Amino acid sequence: MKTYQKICLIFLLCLPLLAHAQLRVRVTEGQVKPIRLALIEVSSQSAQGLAKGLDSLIRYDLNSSGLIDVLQPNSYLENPAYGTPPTLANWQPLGVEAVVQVNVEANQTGQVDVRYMVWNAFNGRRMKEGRLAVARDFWRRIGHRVSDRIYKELTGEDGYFDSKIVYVAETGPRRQRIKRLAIMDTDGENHNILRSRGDSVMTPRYSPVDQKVAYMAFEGRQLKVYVADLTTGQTEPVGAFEGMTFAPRFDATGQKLLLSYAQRGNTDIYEIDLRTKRQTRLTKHPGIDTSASASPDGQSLVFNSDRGGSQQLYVLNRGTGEIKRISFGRGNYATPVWSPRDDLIAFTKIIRGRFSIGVMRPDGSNERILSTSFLDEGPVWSPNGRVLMFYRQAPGEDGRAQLYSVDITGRNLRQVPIPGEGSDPAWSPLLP
Amino acid sequence: MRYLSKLSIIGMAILLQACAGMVGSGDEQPQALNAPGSEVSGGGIGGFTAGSLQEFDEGVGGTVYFGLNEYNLTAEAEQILRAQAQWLSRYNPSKIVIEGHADERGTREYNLALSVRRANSVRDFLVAEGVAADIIETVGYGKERPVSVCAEERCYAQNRRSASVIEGL
Repeated sequence: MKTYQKICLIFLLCLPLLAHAQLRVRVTEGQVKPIRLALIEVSSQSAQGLAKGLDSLIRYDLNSSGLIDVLQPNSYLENPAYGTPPTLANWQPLGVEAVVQVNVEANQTGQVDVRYMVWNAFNGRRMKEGRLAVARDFWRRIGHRVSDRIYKELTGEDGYFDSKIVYVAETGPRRQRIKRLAIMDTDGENHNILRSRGDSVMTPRYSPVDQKVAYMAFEGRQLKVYVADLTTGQTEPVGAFEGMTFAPRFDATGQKLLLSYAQRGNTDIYEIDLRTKRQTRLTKHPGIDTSASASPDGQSLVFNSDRGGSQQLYVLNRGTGEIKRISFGRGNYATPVWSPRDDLIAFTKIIRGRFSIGVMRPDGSNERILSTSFLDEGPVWSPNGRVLMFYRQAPGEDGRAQLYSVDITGRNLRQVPIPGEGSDPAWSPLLP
Repeated sequence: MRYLSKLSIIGMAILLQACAGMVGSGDEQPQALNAPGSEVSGGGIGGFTAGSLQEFDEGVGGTVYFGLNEYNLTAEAEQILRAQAQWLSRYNPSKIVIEGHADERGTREYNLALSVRRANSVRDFLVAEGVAADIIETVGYGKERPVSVCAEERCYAQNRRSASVIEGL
């Protein structure tokens, strides 16, 4: 206790300085110091089971971000009741920067009422409080939404926990894979297999504005692009093409779809307006042009081409028609995806027989590699442009396919929980 | 890169042997087609029943192989495809599907494009050799249908292929 008292004394002396400390994650490229947070055990009079569930959900969400470090409850020196300010001297020795309280109550109408409060552990001020009510069956969504609000309050960035992941669930031996479309919450809960066209589903892509998913699938020998509306359950093939279409991506408005079309062996990039069905050809070159992704303003698109002899990334300026190569490092580059924040382009890089996930600025500068293995492929952005998800295939007959996420700093590489094997993840926008 | 090219040279060497084995051996090579009926005693190329799918697949060789990231035909591939073209003109199937494939050492989307390009190289060659264009269909399976699964060049080499599949014989 004596050492604690000493530490407390030092902290108290420092308080005037600390009171001005900015409670924000300090993000410089490649380096982040996570915010240390205390989550007081979620309290409840009327719904203790729910309280337990919410507690572990919020704890999991915030920790999984890598930007927030939720301290283990057994180290807490106090557990102030909901609404009661924390005693700063109990938190500062632990290096805690914010204290969060959550309360959940259920009423007779089947609704649950969730309240949360965020305290600044430097100055004891209430930073944020809020209240959310929902039908009991949807308590997990409210939990993710509370996580999103806490995350935003502490990091200054929009959250991403209250969103969905679609991916390709893989079963069977590597030579005869069965590939089905699956959907789940960001923490792996509410997992479901979706009905889809064809017998081999690949590269699903979520619309950035609504609950539509584009994917490609073989139906017999026909490889086609489809768009599924998850709210109505309807699926339609996209465009009227004689031949293979693949590699779909929505633009930022969700109204247009970019795809690749192979005609007499040569692949170029097309855009389809999903409402008018109008098709526009965007590239015309004897080399392979594929994996196109639009910038948030729709003015540019980045794509993968071997027109220069090896697979590289190119940006097409749609205003001028100019095409510029942006990747100049060693090795091959593929599957570029433009960040919704417009600051980065993520890609797969192949060099010396290893596959990496990396990011670069849209002009090709500041390339950084975030993860590398035998086969890391197909990054997609979280709705806030802060996290990338991709799949990793281990080598050989028994090599498993799994989903991973990584922060844009390259920290916090995590395996995403799925029931079996999976590939080609895609991230939904924040749910409405 | 040097490491890769060494690998691919070794791979090519293995391939050459594999392909040579596939066309059959000795006098049962494509020359046999130039002199139909001469030495195919009760059977076709490679001892298979003349005009059978098995004769095409295994005697003539239904599959050709490609180098790493390549879609142009090797001399060995052209030799096999010439034999395919002769067989096709003799037995006149109503449909043939050229299935292009790629190894797993590329990205899914690019490999689909690469594999359909490989299928098209085969198609163009067969058409130049006199096969009717309207009986040929091409498809690219990318890295989705491997025949060999191991993390070694010998498997990758077997997956960089184009298979001619006869339908409607």
